[in-house]
Amino acid sequence: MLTAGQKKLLVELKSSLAESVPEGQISESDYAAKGYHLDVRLQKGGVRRVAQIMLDRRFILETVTAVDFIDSFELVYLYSTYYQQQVRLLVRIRIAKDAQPYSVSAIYPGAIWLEREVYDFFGIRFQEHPDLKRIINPDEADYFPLLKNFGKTKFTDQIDDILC
Amino acid sequence: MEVKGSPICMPSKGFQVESKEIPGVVGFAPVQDLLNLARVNALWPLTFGIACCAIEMMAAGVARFDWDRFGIIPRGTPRQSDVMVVAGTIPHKLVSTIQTLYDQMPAPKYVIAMGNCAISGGPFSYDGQYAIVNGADKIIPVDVYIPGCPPRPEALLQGFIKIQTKMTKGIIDANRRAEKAARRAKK
Amino acid sequence: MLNIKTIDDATISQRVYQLNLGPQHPSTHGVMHLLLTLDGEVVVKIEPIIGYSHRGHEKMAENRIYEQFLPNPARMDYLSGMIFNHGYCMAVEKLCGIEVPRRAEYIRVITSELNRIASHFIGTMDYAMGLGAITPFLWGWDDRENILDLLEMISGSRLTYSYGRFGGVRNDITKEFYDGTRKFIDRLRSRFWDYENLINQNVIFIKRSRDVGVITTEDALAFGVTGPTLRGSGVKYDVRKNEPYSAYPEFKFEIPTRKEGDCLARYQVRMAELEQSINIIEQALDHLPPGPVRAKVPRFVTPPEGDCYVTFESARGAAGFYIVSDGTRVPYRIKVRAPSFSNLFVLTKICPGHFLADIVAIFGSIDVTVPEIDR
Repeated sequence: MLTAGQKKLLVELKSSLAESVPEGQISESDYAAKGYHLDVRLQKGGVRRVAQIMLDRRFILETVTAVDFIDSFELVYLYSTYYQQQVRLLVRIRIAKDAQPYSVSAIYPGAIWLEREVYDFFGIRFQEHPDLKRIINPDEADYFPLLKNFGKTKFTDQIDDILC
Repeated sequence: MEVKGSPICMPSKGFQVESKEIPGVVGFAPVQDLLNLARVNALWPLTFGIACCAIEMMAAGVARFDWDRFGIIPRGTPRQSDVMVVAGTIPHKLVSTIQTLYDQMPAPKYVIAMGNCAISGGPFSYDGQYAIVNGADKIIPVDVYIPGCPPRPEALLQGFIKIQTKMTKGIIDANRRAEKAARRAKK
Repeated sequence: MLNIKTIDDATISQRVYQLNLGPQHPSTHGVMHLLLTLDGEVVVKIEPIIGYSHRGHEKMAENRIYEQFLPNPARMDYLSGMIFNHGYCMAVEKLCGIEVPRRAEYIRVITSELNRIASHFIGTMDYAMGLGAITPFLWGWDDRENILDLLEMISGSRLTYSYGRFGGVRNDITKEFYDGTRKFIDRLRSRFWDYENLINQNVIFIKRSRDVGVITTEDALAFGVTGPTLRGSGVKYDVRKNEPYSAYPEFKFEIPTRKEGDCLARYQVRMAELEQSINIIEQALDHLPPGPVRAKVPRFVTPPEGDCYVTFESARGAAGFYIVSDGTRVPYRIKVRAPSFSNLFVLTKICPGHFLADIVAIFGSIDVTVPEIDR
C-alpha cells in the first residue's frame, strides 16, 4: 500500500515527466507484482531529459541494461531514491538494431561504466560517451555475447532429454 | 638396515649397511632424499585465488585448519614460491596472466588445480560457453586435482600432502614432464 | 594530501609513471587490476580494469531453466551467497505470484543475517589485514567458522549455498541448528569487546583510516553507491527498511550510519551492523512460527510473460534481479544488479590525491567482491 508521501511524489513525478517528454507513456504499475512503481515508455528519445529530472529530484541511476528482442533492442534504465519516500522507476525505450542512443554519463557519471557494459555485451554504441570501450570481455574479443544470435540461446530441447 | 639408537633422519629403503660399532645417531640416505625431505616441509604456495575457491583456500590458512603447521607459508610473488594453487574459474582474460606467473616461478614447480572450475570448467562449462577455459590443464601442466565446489579446506591440505608424497617418492613434477614431452616432440 | 587537478605535459614526461596493482597481488581481494598513474607516491589517476573473473552468468541464464540457475547466484557474490540465493528465489516468486509460508520467510531471514555477519567479518578483518593487522584476521575468520558450521548443518554447504527454493527453502531447520545459533549469538556479544580492545582503538589503525577516502553524498548520488559504503557517508538507506521484503517488516532493528564518510566510518558501520543482525536473529528465533517450509509449486515453474525487478540488501549494498520472461521455462533475460560494480567505480573519483599506501586502505574499506562485478 502506498503511503501519502509516496502518492504525492508519484503525482509530482508523473507531471514533471509528462511535461518534459510529452510523447512518452507513463503508467503506474503494481509494485507488489512488478517491483517498480512507475513504468515510463519513451518513444523516440528523451532519455537525457528524464535523467536530468531524476538527478534534480535526488534519484540514483541504479542500473542500465538492454534486452535483445530479435529485431530491436530495449534499453532499460532503473531509478530509485534514498532520500524521500521510496519510489522506483523503470524507464524503457525501444531502439533499432543499429541505433546510437545518447549517453547519460554527463548527468550521471556512474553511467560511464554501466553503458560500457551494455556496449560490451550488446554492441550498442552510445554517442558522447567519454570512454566507450570493452569492460568485461577481453579487449580483443570480436563478439557481443548477449545477442540472441550468438552462441546457444534456447536450450529447451536438450533440457527435456536431461530431466526426463 | 638396522640402526641403533634413534636416528636423526630416516635412511632410504634398500640401503644395506651393517655396522655395529657406529652408535646409530645418524642415518644414511642419498642427498636427493634429504633434499626432498627439506623441500616437502616447506612448500610455499603462490596464492592465486580467483573466485569462490579462494575463500576456502584462505580458510585453509587461518586458525581452524592452519596450513602453517605443514610448513606452508603463502608468498605474494611467484619468484619465491614453488606451488601455484589455481583456485577458481579461468576466463579468457586471465590466461596470459596465469602463463606469465607460471613462467616466473623457478623450477621445480608444482600446480594444484583446486575446485571443479580449475579441473574442467566446473559448473560453468556448458555447450555454448564463451567466457572460460575448461580447466587449468589446458594452459599449464597440473600435478594435483582437488575436486569440489568449493572443496573443503581439509581437501586442500590433502592436496598438499599428495604433492609431498609425490616429492618424496621421486615422481617428477608435471612441469618437467611437459618439458620432456616437448623436447621429444621436437626431435 | 596534495590536491592535483591537472597534469602538466612536462610533468608527464618526467615524474608521472604507471603502476599495475594486480591482477595478482596479495592485498587486492580477488583478481582486481588497478592501473595507477602515480606522481612519485601520490596517485593522479586510477583506472580499475575488471573482467578477470567473468563467467557469463547472464548468458548462462538464457541456457538454463529457472531451477537449473539456482546454483549460480551464490557464486556471484560468494560471501553473501545465501542472500543472493534467496533474492533470486524472491524474484521468480514475484514473477509467478507464489506465496511463501511464514516459517520459510523467517528461516530465510535467519540464514541471510547469519550470512551477513559472516561476510562482514571478512570485510572488516580483511581491511584490517590490508593495513597490517594479522591477529584480527585470524580471529574474524575463526568466528566465521562457527557460522559456517551452523549453515552447513541445514544446507550442506559452507560457501556456495543453494538452500532456497521457489516457494520457500529446501528443508526445515533442526534443533541442533536452533540451539547452536542461540549459543553462537550469546558468544558473539561478548566477542565485540575483544575486537574493541584489539583493533578499534589502535593508533596506527585509526591514523591510516581517519580522513582517508572520503565519499561525499553528492558523489554517492552521482555514482549510485549503496550499502555500508553509503551509510558511512551519513545516508540512512537500507533496502530492508526502505523497501522491506520477506519478513523484515516484523522485526525491530536500527540502521547504523556515520557522518564522516572515510574508511574508519565504513569500518565502524560494518561492525555496528553485526549487532543489528544479532538482534534480528534473536527476534526471529523467539517468534519462529510453525508450519510448512515450502509452498506447493509445480516442478518446473513457467512464469507468465512480463518482467519484474526485485531488490534486496546484500552485505555489499542494494543488489537486484531483473528478470524478463517470455512465458517459457527458460528465462529470456536475467540482469543482475551488483552493488560492487557501482561502489568500485566511485574509486576513480575519490582516490586521486592520496598516497599509494592509502589506495590499499580505500580499496579494502569499499569491500568489493570481484566475481560479482564481472558476473
